[in-house]
Amino acid sequence: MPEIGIYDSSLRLEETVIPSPNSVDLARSIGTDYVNRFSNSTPNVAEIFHLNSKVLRRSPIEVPPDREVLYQARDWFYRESYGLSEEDFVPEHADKVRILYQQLESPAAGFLHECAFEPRLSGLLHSVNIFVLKGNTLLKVLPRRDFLWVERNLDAELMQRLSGAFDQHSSRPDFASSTTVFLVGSFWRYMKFFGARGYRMVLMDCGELAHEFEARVNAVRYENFFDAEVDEVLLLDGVEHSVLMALVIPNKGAEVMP
Amino acid sequence: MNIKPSADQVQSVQEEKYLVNPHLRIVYISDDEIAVKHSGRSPSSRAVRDEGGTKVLGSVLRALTVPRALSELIHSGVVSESKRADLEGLVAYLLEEQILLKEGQDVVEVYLRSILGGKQALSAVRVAVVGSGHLGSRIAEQLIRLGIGALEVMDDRRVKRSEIDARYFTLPRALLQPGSSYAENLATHLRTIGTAEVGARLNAVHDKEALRQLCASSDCVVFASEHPGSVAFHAMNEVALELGTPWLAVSMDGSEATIGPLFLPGQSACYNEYEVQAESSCWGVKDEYLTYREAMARGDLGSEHLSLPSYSDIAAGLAATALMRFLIGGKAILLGRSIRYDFERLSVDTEEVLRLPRCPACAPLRAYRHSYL
Repeated sequence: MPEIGIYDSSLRLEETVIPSPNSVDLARSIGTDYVNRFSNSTPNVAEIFHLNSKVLRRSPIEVPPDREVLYQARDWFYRESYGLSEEDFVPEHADKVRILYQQLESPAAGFLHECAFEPRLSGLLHSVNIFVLKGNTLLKVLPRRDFLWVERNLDAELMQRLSGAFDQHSSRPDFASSTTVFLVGSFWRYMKFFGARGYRMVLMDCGELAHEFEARVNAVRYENFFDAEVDEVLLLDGVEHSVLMALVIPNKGAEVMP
Repeated sequence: MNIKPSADQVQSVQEEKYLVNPHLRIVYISDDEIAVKHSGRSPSSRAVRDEGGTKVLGSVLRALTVPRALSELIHSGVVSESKRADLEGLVAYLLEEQILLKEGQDVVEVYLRSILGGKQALSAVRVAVVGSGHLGSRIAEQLIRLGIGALEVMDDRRVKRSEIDARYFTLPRALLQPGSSYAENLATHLRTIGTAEVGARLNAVHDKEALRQLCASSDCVVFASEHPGSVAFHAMNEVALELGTPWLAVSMDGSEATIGPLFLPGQSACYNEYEVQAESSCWGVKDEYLTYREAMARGDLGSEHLSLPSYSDIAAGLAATALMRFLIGGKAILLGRSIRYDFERLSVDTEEVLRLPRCPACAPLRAYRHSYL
């Protein structure tokens, strides 16, 4: 019986995936970044972030042991922001600034309402804002409010730019026959308490929200797009707030995109 | 706050002499309530109230500005005999809160514990100081005055021009005889000001074998240089990474003082990562800066490297403070960060130092695993 725990020590545990060092690719690509990473004089930004967002035992930066401090800030934010009651709206023109969930004719309406009110899901809206594009109206889901805020009406040119931001996909989202949900990270809401570590936590919250979305609504996920172009249409600065993911939900009767 | 001592606490307060912690100031609100302050904005400020209303708290603290035993307080009428039990309970509580001390306690140690929340006694710590020049000697002296248990200094330099050294060192002039060793002079001086075990090595500061021995026998190393060439710092970095020894870099360069970073091998950026980033951030004068560093490495600068004593004092004070905070088990305020004083421009900068994923000095020592295994 071999003592090393494997019968045939000549079995290969992996295939060679790194080409010979003699192979030099002058055009930079993700693939060459991977291959050349041991000698790359400009290290990958993701590696730098990951290496420098570790929690160190003796760091002078106090990292809270749990999310309690976040929850206190979140509760204040939820209580105070958009604290409008029905009397605050001008009845004839209220639809210019808000629409009610029952007015949102979309298969996602019920779930978006849950996101605003269901305790666990609404808790995620501290780090992740949900923007909704219905027709050419850009709306924002407000935690614990029974209306969606009208952020912007997109004209034909903006709609065209938004569509163009998904150019690298084989099929672009069809905004006309679907509701598009943008998950937008609001990073400093966590980073002001957890530093760089907070950035990771926002990504994890976004993942949790996306998971719930896909479990309950028939949605197509878009993770790669030209970020800056989407941010610009959504009026996001790309730093404090930046879009992380788009979920496209076909309207009733429309086909789900592959 | 309810003052209820345990039986053990009461037992321990019988005949000792006590006094108010000299690092605290007591604001008397009433006989049963005080505010304990360290400074106007100190986070360690707190209120103490005797819920039992025994009226002993205020009068006892007023009387204990000088060391006194409890029996003296009773005999002198500060507290009546009928309140002896209240007095004993109160004193036990105030000792636990470090508002009162026993006579003879080390007041620096008391400060480190009561104000900074220190967990580790400095008297149990061994530190090495590499470089016994104008800067290193000051840091070593500060550490001795803070109560370091054992200190070893290392330097192979000797006094050449005693007039200049007499002006720039804080050592007694009598020690600075031409030809005498910096390290031995410093060790002699340190033995006169503290009880710490002090040793001296007469090796060059870039001697890796000597650095290896020094790191192996120390909890932490300070590398202090008035001549901030790269060679010695890289040698220290290599040895520290090999042995996992924490170390602090401190250097003077004319009117510039750089304190930190503190390097924790395996956790923080290493010296190479620091140097890469320090050089990168030197925009505008980068070419001449690099030329200067090369000349420094060759040792042909043609003059001694002098920094005003007052500049060295500031750098040494800050270095000793940062190291002390680290050694008592607190936060390492210079971890991944250096502070640069430019006394010529009168500016202070902090430099945040990132870890670099493939640093040739420290990355090879990290455990590596193929990304598909």
